[in-house]
Amino acid sequence: MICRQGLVILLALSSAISACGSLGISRLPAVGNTINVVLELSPQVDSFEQARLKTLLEQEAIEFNRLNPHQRVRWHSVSSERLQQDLKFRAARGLTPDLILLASSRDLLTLHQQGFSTPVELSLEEKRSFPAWLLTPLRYRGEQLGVPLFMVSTMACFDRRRIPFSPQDLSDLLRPEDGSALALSTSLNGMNWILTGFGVPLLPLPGRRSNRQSQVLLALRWVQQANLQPHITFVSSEEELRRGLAEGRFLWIPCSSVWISSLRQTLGANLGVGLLPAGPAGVAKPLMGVSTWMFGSQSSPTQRKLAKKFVLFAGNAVNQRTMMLRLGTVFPVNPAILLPLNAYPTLSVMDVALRNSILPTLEQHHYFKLKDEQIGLLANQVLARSQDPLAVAHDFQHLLENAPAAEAQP
Amino acid sequence: MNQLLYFVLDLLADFTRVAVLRQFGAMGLAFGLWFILKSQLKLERRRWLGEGRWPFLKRLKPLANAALLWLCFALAAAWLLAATGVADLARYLVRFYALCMLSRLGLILLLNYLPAKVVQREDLQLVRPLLVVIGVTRLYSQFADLNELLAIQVIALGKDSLSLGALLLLSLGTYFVIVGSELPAMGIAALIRRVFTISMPAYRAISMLIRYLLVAVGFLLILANAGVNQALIAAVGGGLSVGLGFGLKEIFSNFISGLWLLLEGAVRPGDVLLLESGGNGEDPCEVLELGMRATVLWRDRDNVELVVPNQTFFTQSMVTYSGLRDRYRRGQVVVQAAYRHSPRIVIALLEDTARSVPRILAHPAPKGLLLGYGDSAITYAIRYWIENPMDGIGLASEVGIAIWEVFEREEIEIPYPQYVWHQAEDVPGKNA
Repeated sequence: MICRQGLVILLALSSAISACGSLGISRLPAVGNTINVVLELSPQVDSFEQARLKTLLEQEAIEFNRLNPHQRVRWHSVSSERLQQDLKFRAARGLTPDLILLASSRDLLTLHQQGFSTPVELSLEEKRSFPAWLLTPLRYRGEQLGVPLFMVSTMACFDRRRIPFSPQDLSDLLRPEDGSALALSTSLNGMNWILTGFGVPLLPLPGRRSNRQSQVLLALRWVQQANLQPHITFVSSEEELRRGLAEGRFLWIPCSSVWISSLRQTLGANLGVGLLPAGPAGVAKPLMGVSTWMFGSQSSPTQRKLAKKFVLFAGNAVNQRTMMLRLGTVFPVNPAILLPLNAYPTLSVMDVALRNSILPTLEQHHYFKLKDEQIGLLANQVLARSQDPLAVAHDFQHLLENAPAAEAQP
Repeated sequence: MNQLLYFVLDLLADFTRVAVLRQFGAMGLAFGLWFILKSQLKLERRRWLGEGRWPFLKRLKPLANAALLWLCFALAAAWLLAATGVADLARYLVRFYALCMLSRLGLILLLNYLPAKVVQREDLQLVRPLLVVIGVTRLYSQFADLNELLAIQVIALGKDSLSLGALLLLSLGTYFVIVGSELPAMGIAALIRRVFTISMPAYRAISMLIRYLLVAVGFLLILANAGVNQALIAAVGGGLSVGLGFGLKEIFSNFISGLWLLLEGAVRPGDVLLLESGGNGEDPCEVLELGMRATVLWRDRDNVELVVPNQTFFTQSMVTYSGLRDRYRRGQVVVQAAYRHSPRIVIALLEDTARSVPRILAHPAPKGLLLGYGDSAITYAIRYWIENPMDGIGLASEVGIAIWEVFEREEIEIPYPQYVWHQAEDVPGKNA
């Protein structure tokens, strides 16, 4: 029967290839020295920026191949919605990608717990390419689960034709200027920077638990008051914010740095970029976005080495600088890079915004991911005035108190 | 092309993963186990329980070892899944092998409805290549994105290019449309035959016409789906037109002739024709297949298949025994009897003899005739009708033998030529 013969041939072929692999014949040029890299395409990054990012990373892979002719990096991109499904499909076949570039570290712990990733060990020399304050939040139970590639900041974007300067203070936001239309988000990040402006620490530090229900209450009352203003709109999706500014429905929004390119395409020189308004307790501290490498759990030892080599290659000063200058919307993680802040005003704003930002640990991300719906519900209760802010503040405070503390620096 | 090589290398790289090796290793072990079990159990040779009672079990015997192998694979995959949670490649092999087995089962069942020759042809030309294509593409899609592979540009024609997917669709698609259209065409024709009670040759002609139609529609759909540039089709069409004027003229002429013959019904599969056989007289031949270029005829005399270009039937006249009226053929044996026998008795004997030969039709009845008075004997002919025109020569021999036996029994003489010489008495100058 031909099927049986075919199957025998197939099995023989695969066994031969397997034998070659285990005998080290895979060290021959290109055979066995290919890594599969998956790029997560977040819906929060618009398609224009996604295309730019893909092109840049492909160029990086080509450059890597040029310098390492016997090794090959193969790219695929998968949307955030399909990432888990895709990983599940591949993992069930023993083919989990060797590297996954996550849009943020938010899902890293979840994916690790599902068995898709494996920790990576970095030597002291290798760690020099990354600041400790970036590596530490990507650790879990003493293991390095991810390695950062670049940082994304949250800032204020506005249309200069109608709003010459970004509001400096949260109270300024409540004062309507002629025809101004502002938009805010009820997402975790959207609520976070407002809360921090009122002195509410969203992410507790180790050993510090603070009861700041009064500050939470003040923040929620501000949100409630803002919602009463005819020139302020609250939206539930970040994408809605970006599209609103591009289409001229909103004149000021809190925005991610990765939106700048596409917004500049629409608004041109009229796009203004500034820091988020400070609150009565100090500067706003938005969540920092860190695009993170995750190492696949089913790679061969050769592929694992190659994956790490590529991650370190992407993290070296030259590539980081190239990436920053080409994209102009992300911030390098390599501390050795001297930033041309004077030449690039947007970069300068991003720099300050990032200094103000906070980076949650993997556990904190995991916790807030689980509580995302609850936070949205509480925010809506405040906005809809269906609950007294005092009651909501209590629930909010309870929620914040139970957030895991950040891991101490090693 | 480099890109294709990279795809192969990428695929090979996946085989260095432990989880992948484990799955293929488990399948290899399952195969080894099956080999031992197969030689111990001898399932295909041994007598099965209930085999006498249910004859169809005998037909399933060739599948026994395959089923055992599938069971070994399935158990190995299930064990792997339970032990490691990673077994989808192994499970894919199990599913694919089940598909192979199902196809074998389908072919066995098809033997109940179609001739073995047709089933065998479908198996070799359609089922097996199709399984290979399904197996390879599905296996590849377990490892990588098949669409990405199919999107690789393999041929560049000016500004246009042809992707691997389009190329495969054009080549494999055309092949499968041509090969795969046979059974559906036969099925539809069989339905038409049942509804309209048409003859077998007409059924074959309809089947062929439907097949051409399916191939034409399939080819158009393939062209549309492959995204072939219309300008390119026009260019190829232009080239074809020039080609038709020169080398392709004969091919095209034969193709059109074949279509015309089918439509007209002058020559259809199953018909019996008389074909000139190079100085050896005429031999009846049966039309086996009316192809795109040529018609295949079967000659009974020496059991050869003649491939006759279709246009031959247009350029030369043909004698057919299975034309518009009926398929009966009239045969004749000529015999002589001495003058001393009464023609009425001889004719009656000839008619009775012809009637007694099997395969000679009773209606129309055999007819004896007195053809003429010869020098030595009276010439008679016995004419009879037969159902199968291909039996003409064989039956003529049988009738001849029967006549000889009857003449011997009834003492009817078949005289040798007799000449009576007379010596002239008064030839002038004889005694001079």
